[in-house]
Amino acid sequence: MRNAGWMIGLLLIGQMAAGVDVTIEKQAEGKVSVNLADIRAQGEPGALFVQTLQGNLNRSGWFHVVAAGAGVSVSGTAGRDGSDRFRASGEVAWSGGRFRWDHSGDIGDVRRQAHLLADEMVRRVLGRRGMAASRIAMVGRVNGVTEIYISDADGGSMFRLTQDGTLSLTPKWEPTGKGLFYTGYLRGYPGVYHIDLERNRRRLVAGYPGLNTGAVVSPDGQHIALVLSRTGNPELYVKNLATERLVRLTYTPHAVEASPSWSPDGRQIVYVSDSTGMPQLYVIGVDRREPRRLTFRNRENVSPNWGPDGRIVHATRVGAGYQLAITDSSTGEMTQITDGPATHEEPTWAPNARHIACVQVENYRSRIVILDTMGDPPIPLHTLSGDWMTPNWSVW
Amino acid sequence: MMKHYGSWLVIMCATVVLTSGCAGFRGRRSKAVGDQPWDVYPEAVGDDLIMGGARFEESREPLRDVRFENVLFGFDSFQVPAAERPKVEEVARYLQGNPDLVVVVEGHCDERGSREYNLSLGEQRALAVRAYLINLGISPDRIQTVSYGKERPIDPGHNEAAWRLNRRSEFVIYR
Repeated sequence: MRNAGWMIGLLLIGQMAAGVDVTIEKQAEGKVSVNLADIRAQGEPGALFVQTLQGNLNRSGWFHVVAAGAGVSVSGTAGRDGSDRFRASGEVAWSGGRFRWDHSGDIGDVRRQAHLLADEMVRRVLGRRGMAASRIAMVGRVNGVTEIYISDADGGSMFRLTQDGTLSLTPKWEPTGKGLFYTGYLRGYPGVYHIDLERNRRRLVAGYPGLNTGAVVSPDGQHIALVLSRTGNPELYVKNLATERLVRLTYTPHAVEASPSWSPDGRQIVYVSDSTGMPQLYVIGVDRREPRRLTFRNRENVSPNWGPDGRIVHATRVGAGYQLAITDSSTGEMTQITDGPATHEEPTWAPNARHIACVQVENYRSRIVILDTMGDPPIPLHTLSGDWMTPNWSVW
Repeated sequence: MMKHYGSWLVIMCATVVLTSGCAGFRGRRSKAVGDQPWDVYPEAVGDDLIMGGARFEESREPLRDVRFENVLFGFDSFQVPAAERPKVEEVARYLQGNPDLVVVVEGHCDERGSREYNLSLGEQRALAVRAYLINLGISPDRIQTVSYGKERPIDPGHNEAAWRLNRRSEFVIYR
């Protein structure tokens, strides 16, 4: 295998936890080259398939699409199959093996077939988890109206989910990706709502007096952690979605809690509390409810997101703004991963535990960018006008 | 019983913080508490401040022409400053004179700080105003709260003058 060197190279780069303004040399080096020239693309659907696949492979961080002479070659056909169907099939071959692929679906769903092949290539060729078929929910403020939007991981296929004309905040996917929870003001107060994307249904999950927000689903899909102020102060709770039983986790009459995120095993929750006077990260067991302060460096640590490999990414106060840091959930060791004049906040891990989507604020305009913890340069998720905030990357 | 358990947890938490905290944080509280009941809110009343019943937004009508001055807050603070208390007292007098009316206290923040944390902080500000109204004799079931975090600034500027006006509580009377 002529790519014996790339794996070691990537491991070394991975150790460096590169940041946005840190340029990693040998960037294209250490990537597996892929040639798509042998896919016969028929018509517009075929071209869209190849174009989407190329973007996905380049964004995956592992591949580099080239015009000729590659380590991995993809051959086959892609095009319309009957009047309303699309089909793409062929073979992926490299020095370490080969596999046949065959993806078909609705003609309006061409991009999804390309996402699935890209993820299959990451898995079969490299033994890694891809992220091309995952999606990103986000908040968009366009012409002063704040709604929830959803796009594919490459920023394409964007659509607006809510159209309430009020305020819609903090979208969080459920593990299956079939729905999400968010905080909406459609009844005049912040309530936690669930949207079932398959049935196109919405229901109020928490509408207690006071604050209802931050709802995030446990990895098993059975519970939500959320912040409620029904007892007279914002506190962290866990609600069983089947029985509706509510368990209060924090008792901090002088402090507020915010931003819960579950550990991958569902046994702990990382959250923000200002019980020392400034917002810092804490970890609490769902069964043994003793909070443990996790972060001690910097004046503020907020917006934690517990990643699939156990690392917590969050925003940390640096100067007048925020930058991102990764904190080890057991040792509390913190590594700052972004820098520069722009502020970076509200991070969310991709399901591949390598990429991070976050908000980049510059000159009071906010957009969503995709960062690579292994050194590829940041890419804007999309370039639509408006302010874009609070991305949440699906876990499936 | 629940409350007792809660206090124990708070002590546990404080112990963890004090024993493992770095020197820069130990004993420093930007949210220092004073000696008035509404300063130490909500510990003074604790779980007695539970909000119950139907949300006013769904069960009543707002009286938009009844306006009160906004209560302003310090940076990252939920205490009602002494100079701002007369504004709350004015609302209390109005509610005492109109026993059929109720109030929703809004909580707002300036643009600094994370979006989600500011939702909680805004709520804490609204609840502090609520606690003071209760302290002034208004029944708890006549006061509800809504936090808008940093989502609804009244001054769009990015400077201290704007931030000062945006860290606020607003009052909406319902009938």
